[in-house]
Amino acid sequence: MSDKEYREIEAVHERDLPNLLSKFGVFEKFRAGEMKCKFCKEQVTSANIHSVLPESGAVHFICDKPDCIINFSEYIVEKNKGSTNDS
Amino acid sequence: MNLAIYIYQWFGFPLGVAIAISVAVFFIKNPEKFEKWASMIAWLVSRIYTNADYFATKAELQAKLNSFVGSLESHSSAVFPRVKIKWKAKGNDEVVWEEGNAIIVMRDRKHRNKNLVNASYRFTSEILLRKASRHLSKTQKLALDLFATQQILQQESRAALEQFMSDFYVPEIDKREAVRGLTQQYLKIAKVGLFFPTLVQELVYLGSKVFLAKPSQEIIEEVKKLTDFLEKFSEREVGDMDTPNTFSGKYTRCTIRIVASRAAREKGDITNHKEGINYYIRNKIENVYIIGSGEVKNKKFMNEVTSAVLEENTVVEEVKKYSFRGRIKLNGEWVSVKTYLIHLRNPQAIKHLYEENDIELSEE
Repeated sequence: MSDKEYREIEAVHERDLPNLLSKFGVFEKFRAGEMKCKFCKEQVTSANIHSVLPESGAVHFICDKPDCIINFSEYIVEKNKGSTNDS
Repeated sequence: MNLAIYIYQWFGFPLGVAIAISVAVFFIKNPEKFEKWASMIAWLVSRIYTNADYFATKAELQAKLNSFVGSLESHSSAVFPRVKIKWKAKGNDEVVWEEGNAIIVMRDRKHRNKNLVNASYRFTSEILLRKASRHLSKTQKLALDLFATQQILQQESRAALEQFMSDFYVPEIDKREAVRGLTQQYLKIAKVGLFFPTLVQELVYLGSKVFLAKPSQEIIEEVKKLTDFLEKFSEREVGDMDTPNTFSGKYTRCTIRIVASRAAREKGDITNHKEGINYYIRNKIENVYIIGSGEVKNKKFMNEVTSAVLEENTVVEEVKKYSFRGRIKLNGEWVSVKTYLIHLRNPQAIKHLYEENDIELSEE
């Protein structure tokens, strides 16, 4: 068992989202509907939130549209490793 | 009845202990199965005690994703990472700012399928296929991620699969023609059982190579050709000797050797197969996949061929051998068959670092 490699996925339960966002200092803005998706720029609410990304001193939000999830995944992979360009 | 009471009185306790030990050993050896059971119980408890859903969600996701990795490893030579879900901001837990660490939002018990779909896609694209997709184009990576996620959900949850297909996969395929084309190819390759054992395996090896000059477009083209090769091979009819069985690229070189000829097997004549495989090894083919019927006699024959090859090529390694349910095309009809695959790797043929000069030389 010990030779298996494990990677972590960080998750927040929707019940704890206000707590997380309060600690990050963005809950009031989120509740007021001022937070936009990093990719499609549409409003992110508790109903359509997919992920939260703390980066460069700001908290970014990603909505649950498939395109935004795909863009987000590409963004994370490229950020971590760099990637090749499509033809 | 008296006999049953007599057996219970004399053997009841030791039998109970033996069963308990067996169950414990089984769960220690199969932690994913333990987590699956534990999550099922926790979901029931969560009806009364809401906070049990933390454990239920975490255990369910880990069990399903890691169970898929386990089955993958039993059918391929690559080792894939497993996953652990880590709760953030749970209750009064301290929240630490972790730069660039994405936090996925999990829903309550009514959205278990959505949680599994989101976690599966994230796991596939960022963890499971990280190495395999290192040198791929965005389109190739997306097609691979979507297809692999579909494979996970197909095995682990039909309900989540339906949600993934309708909300995610189908809309993406409809929008991106190139992804549709690659999906069709993957489907053909997966049908004969070669998607993870051969295609993903080769991409994992490719992902371990470092290209100092970064010839990205060349690699993308080579992966396209590898996929085309495996697609054509998957479509071949039994007895077809015209379809190529060897892919020899600049960075990926593999061959699939079919060992299934009844005549040779009955004669016990391994020479032809052995010499064929020796030829590939001499010609710096990195991976040789020996494939054939999984029937006992044929497996024995394949093992004999392999032993003879290994005896003559001491540097070659037998990476893995395993049985699986594959498909063959016989007179235009697809037939499900027991299949046996032996993977040999030739370390002398492997090059890990490619400089600009290496690439130019290989082009000559």
